[in-house]
Amino acid sequence: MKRVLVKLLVACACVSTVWAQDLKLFNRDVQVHGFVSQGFVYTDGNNWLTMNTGDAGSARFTDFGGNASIQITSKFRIGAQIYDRNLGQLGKWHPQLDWAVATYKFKPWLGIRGGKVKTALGLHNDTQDLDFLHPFALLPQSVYPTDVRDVTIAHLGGDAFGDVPVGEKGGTISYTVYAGHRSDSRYGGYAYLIGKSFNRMGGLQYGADLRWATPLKGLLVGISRLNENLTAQYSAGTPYETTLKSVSNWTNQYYAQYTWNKLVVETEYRRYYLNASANGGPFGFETDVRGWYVAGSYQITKHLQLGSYYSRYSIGVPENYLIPSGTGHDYDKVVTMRVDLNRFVNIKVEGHFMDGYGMPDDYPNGFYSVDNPQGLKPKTNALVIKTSFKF
Amino acid sequence: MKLSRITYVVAIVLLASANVWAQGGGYKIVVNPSNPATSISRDDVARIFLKKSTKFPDGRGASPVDLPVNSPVRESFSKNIHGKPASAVDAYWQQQIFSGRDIPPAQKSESAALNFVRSNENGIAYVSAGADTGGMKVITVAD
Repeated sequence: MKRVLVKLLVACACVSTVWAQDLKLFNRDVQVHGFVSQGFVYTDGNNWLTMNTGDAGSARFTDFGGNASIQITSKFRIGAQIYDRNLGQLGKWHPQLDWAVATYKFKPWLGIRGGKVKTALGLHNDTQDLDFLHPFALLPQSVYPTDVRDVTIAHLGGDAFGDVPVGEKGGTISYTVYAGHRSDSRYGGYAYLIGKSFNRMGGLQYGADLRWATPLKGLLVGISRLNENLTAQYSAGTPYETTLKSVSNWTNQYYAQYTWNKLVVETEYRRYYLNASANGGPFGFETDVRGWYVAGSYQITKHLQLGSYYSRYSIGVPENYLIPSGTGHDYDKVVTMRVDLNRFVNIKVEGHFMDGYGMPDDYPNGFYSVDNPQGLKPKTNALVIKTSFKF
Repeated sequence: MKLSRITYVVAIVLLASANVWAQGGGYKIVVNPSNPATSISRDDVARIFLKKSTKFPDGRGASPVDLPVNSPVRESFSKNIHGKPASAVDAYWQQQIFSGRDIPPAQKSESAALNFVRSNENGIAYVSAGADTGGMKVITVAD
């Protein structure tokens, strides 16, 4: 694995040099970009994120990607990105087409894009994998759970989008409406939770995102809504296959971000609700996950940034009266330091102080019983060290 | 009379300084000589270089080129036009690139940017204030 990473870094350096020399295809500039990140996680409580973090820590925390795009005309562009990761038992080096998009912009207020498209949901859904874009090594898991990135990261379909000024002094509203198909990887969190009997999970997704760059300079507020018609199939250790279909399945997300000089503060709230029936019968289950966070970061110098966030999520199983609402929770206090060695390389050192472990047998969000056979402890502290390179 | 003359001279100096400042303490905007524009608003320049608009105000197509992110000329341009350092604008473009939303204008060296504008009737670029812009038109930035 180390040889693979060294080769990859050498390849990235070579490509970055080539990129600097202007690639062309059919007399059009081709832009090539890529990134690789490597992390290490140590915990003093439970094993976390499907990694064996509780002994000597784990470095099974790697991802990388590369993209190429061409501006065919001033209004028409095509591009694609490949992504791969290994996060403990997730990903497992199975590369994915992260996005592949053809975009046509009729007017500033109307454009369309189609293909495999990153989904606009909240502040960071479409950039959650891109370590170099964020001050934090791990985004708040209450709203951006990395183990279930498949659920929201992209849809195979299309978007309509645009920017609409609100009068002369009312700022700008940016909208995205979309529809497409979601298909979860066999190496994602749901598949890991269900185990070997996982067959497939996916379905229709459609929704919208509205964000308002307000007249107050630096203030952005927004709202997102995602609806799904989900189908999941698994056998759960029996000869019979269970098909779950969602009766009601939606996500609401509200967010605000304020940037003032070197300070960025933001907050988001996400509620995910699923009511599903099994095999078309009267039985099924409900899940109600509510999460939010408040975060701040400050650029101390050109090379040093400090940040912190408080993140909370709670999982409710409304129909299961034996489990009180809010039993499944994780409250996470985080402090982080980011050092940018140059424009291409950064290092982060981050501490997590977690209270709770969600519902490890019912919902994939950080902690799993199979990774903690000795039982789960109520609190987990984690040290995360991560470096990334991008060009 | 003397006071009003002094006031007049100070006013002239301030206006001249504002015009120089509007061009940037370190950059000037160049377009192809076939472009009829003589000035352009700061907001229109920002929109063109953020690819929020693909046209000049008169409807002519606009093809911008940037200088490299670490160029001091780009830093001056970015702070004056976008109100942000070049690193902040670069961060915006990184979000756009890696989410598949958009790609930034091509980045070229100053000489390559000048050649692009010289040979492209829709071209627009910014170069250092002292650059040789023979054969091209320098336009001013109006507030």
